[in-house]
Amino acid sequence: MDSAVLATVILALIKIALILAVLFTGVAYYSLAERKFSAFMQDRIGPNRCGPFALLQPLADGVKFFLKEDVIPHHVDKVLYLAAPAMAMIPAMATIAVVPFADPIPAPASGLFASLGQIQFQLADINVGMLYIFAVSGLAVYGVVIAGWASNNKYALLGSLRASAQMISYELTLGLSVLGVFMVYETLQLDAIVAAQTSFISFLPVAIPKWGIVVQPLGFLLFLIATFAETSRLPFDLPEGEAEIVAGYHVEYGSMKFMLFMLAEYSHMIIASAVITCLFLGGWNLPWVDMSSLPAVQRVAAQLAVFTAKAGFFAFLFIWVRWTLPRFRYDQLMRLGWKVLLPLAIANLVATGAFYVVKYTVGIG
Amino acid sequence: MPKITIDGIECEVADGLNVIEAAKTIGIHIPHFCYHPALSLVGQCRMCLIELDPIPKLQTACSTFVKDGMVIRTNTEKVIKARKAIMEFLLINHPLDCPECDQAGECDLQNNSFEFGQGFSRFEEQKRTYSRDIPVGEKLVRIQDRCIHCTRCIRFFREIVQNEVMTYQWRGNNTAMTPLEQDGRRLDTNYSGNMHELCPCGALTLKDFRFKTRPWNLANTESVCPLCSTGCNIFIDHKQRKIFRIRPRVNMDVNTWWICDFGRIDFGYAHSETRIAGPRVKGADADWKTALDTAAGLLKTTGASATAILCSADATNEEALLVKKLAAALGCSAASLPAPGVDPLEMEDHLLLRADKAANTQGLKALGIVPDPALADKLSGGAIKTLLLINPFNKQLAAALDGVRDAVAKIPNLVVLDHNETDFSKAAAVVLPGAVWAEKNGTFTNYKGLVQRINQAFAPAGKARGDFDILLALAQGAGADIACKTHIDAYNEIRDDLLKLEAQIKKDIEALQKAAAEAEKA
Amino acid sequence: MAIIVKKPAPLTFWERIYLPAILKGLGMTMRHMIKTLAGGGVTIRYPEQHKRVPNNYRALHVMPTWEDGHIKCVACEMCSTVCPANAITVHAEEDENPEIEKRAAFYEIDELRCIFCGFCEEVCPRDAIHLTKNYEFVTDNREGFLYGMDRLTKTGRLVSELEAKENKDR
Repeated sequence: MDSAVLATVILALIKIALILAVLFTGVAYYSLAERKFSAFMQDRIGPNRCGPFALLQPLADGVKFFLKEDVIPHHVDKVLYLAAPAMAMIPAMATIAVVPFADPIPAPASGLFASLGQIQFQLADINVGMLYIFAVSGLAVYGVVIAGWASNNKYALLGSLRASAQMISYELTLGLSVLGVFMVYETLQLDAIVAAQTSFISFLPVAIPKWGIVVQPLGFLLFLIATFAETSRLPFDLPEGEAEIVAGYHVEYGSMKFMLFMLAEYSHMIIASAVITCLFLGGWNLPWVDMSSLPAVQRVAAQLAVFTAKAGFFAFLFIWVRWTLPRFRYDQLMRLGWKVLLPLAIANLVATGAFYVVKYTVGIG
Repeated sequence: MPKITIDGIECEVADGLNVIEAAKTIGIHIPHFCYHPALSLVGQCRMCLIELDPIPKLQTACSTFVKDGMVIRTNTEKVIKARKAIMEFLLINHPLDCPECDQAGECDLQNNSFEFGQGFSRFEEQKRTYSRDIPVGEKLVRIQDRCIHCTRCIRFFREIVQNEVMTYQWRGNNTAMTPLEQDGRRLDTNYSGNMHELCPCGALTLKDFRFKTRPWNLANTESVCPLCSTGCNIFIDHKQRKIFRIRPRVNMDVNTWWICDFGRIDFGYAHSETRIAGPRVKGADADWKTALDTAAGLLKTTGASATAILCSADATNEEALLVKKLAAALGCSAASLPAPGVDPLEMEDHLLLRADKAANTQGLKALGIVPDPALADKLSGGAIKTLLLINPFNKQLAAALDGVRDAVAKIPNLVVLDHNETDFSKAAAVVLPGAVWAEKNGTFTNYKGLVQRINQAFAPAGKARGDFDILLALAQGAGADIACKTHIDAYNEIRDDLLKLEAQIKKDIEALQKAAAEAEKA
Repeated sequence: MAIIVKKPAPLTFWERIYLPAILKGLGMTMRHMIKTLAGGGVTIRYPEQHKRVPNNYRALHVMPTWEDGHIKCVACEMCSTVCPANAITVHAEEDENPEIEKRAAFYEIDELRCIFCGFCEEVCPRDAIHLTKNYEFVTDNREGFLYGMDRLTKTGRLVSELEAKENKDR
């Protein structure tokens, strides 16, 4: 085999292992963080029994899920029932493939990876970037729908119906709101978008970073709201609405299969946070701070830290909003999606387009 | 019939009543301690004071007899104040040890204090106490500290028991009701137990009931004493399927206010160790169906001439009816004793106790189940091969069977229906556990033909069943067609016979009394 | 008669886009979180910390004894009579001391039946039963909740342990 191909494959396998390890650890501690922050916001203390600051709590939860009896109810469609958790989990893991975390570093001068030239902090640098994310995360709804169908339970079916309607409605907004960003940065590649955000807005007298949140504030807001809906988080957690449909699509699931649904939900949130960071918050870069002069290892560490901090804020926002807003009613959810967010997204798109038409005809900046 | 006015209510009452009884007829309660309708009047507790126009001072209601035109007031301020004063006075020396006292809950002193007392005392000195070492016998407990000097006990022993075993000792504040020295200071008469109800405070209480439970925990079932042919009316006081005590129930035709101490204390057999635990066939435990089928089969095997039924007179009238029907179905005879019986009218003492130690001799007689003196010979001669023996635990039947004990035990087809083990039940081919009187419904006919109802206080112990149900099953097993399925049906069937007997006995007793009076005159 | 329904005033633009209200809500949850992190939570870490219960708190019973160890109870059955949950069983017996006369031969409280109303304490004429503040007497079997005289006379010790814990936590 060609040594370059071999190096690429080995590097990809290493990256997959590392990214998944970080993702799963992140999910585990994200669930702990959610429980802790939930408690704090409710004047409680939260889990405090397992290890210092309950740091072993995710381990205990995991062990518990593993040791629970793996029940398969007799009335379910067995094949689909077993396939659904995997179908929910796989898109969640696959979407992270195109998310970059830092600038690439030069490959070691000798050895296996020397032929690659540089090592990217991204599993797959493909030029359809965001489209891939939309495509794969759109598949996630199959897991939910199939889970609800296969469970042969009216609550599960209602939950999955709600989930599919909600995802279809908000995916439109999600896609349309981000089109403005593509117009601004003229690319779909996430690392290119991040790189484009290091510059400043050219026609303004003061140096304001050309972040997505600055140039596309409405797009950011719409994208954020749509993300909440896509991840089924409060105030859009109608598919699970405990009060009205018990637990929605995963009411018939227990032990490991239930854990997969939870993993998928939390992975989605983490990836969504990372994507928002890349699209609207300048990724791993800080404005007015030039990290490229640092030695490679320190630079990567600094960039990863910045990226984690930014994504972490959004992850926290998911928790924060959960304890602030109550759940929407179904008709409110639909009205908001179709009659408010969608027109706004189209308006944003038209306005951005008009701005560029004017810009290129008149020639500002 | 004097017309009087009590508290503004005009009424006409019977002649010769005192004011307490007169007020009682119109529902006005005048509190009292020393007065008892059965005892002589002493008027010394002063609790029953009333206002009587136009007398300026208060009068004792117990010793004031009604007269035409009397105006009596029982709830004026003067009377209420006097009652408060008397209560305070009585409680000067009465120890407030109600928590330890057995009388609490049915105590006249407690009730009257609660209703008419003032709730506090101005007495600050030491209360008088007595020695507790004076023996009073086996039946009563005497705690003289609690005595309020009503002298009911002294009068009861003198007038009712006619055995003066108690008297006053010392004077004034230190007066004590003391058992007399020459009787060994014992109060063990046959009627001492009645002091349990008679004593208005806790000075004399029943030793048998001492500390057993509190009276308010007991359910009271109206019944009739089964221990002799007098048929004293009683309350069975029971809790959790256990009899705790027997109390007299007032019936002026039978026992007035009293019962004897046998009836009061001898209920232990209802809960004894020797209660038959369950049905047995040839000594081995069996279920009811097997036992009843076997018994019914055995009764039919040897033919009418070699079969007999012997039933104690503790059976109720309804059970006796079934015995008769069973005998008719088998073609055999049914007898109450294998020897001449005792005259049900014969007295053992001057008050209640009768020589006939069975509850229902007269009822069985009315249904034709009478003593059969020929039966003893048949039993000892071995002519009887099959015998249904009902309740040989009864003292009278047991005594009558004494001479033929071995012969009866050798009868091959011996079926015993009883509540407690005897030699006969141990030797029997089939044993059917029956109920004691407290566990049955039915009627007893007493010595003078009075039919009195007994009520079931609780279900039969363990696997035992009511005798009526057992006899019904046996009679049906023997092929008899029986219409009366309950004791009420059975009673309706025999009512006329019983009433006829009552009229007959009444006539007989009148004739006897007349003859006795003439003999005395001569 | 027509009923005039009072309609609420129409929402303003800022009210209609909800964002200020959402931000206000976020601010409130954040305030609570900061308050809790600064030590203002209301939770008591139970096995380590003990809540100070008020002095009239009613929990496990105790049967006091006289100085010579003789039980104060005279088995008057007032407690079992007044008990609305039928949790108390008393059997009496004769005491050797004629001054005391009566004492409990058997006394049992079924703490699972007990509703801790305190009537037994209130009704007792001899001050022979009290409800303590000790609420820590769970066991894993029903028999463990049947407190006989032997245990009820010793529950005073448990109470002092609890008070020591409370004092330590303060």
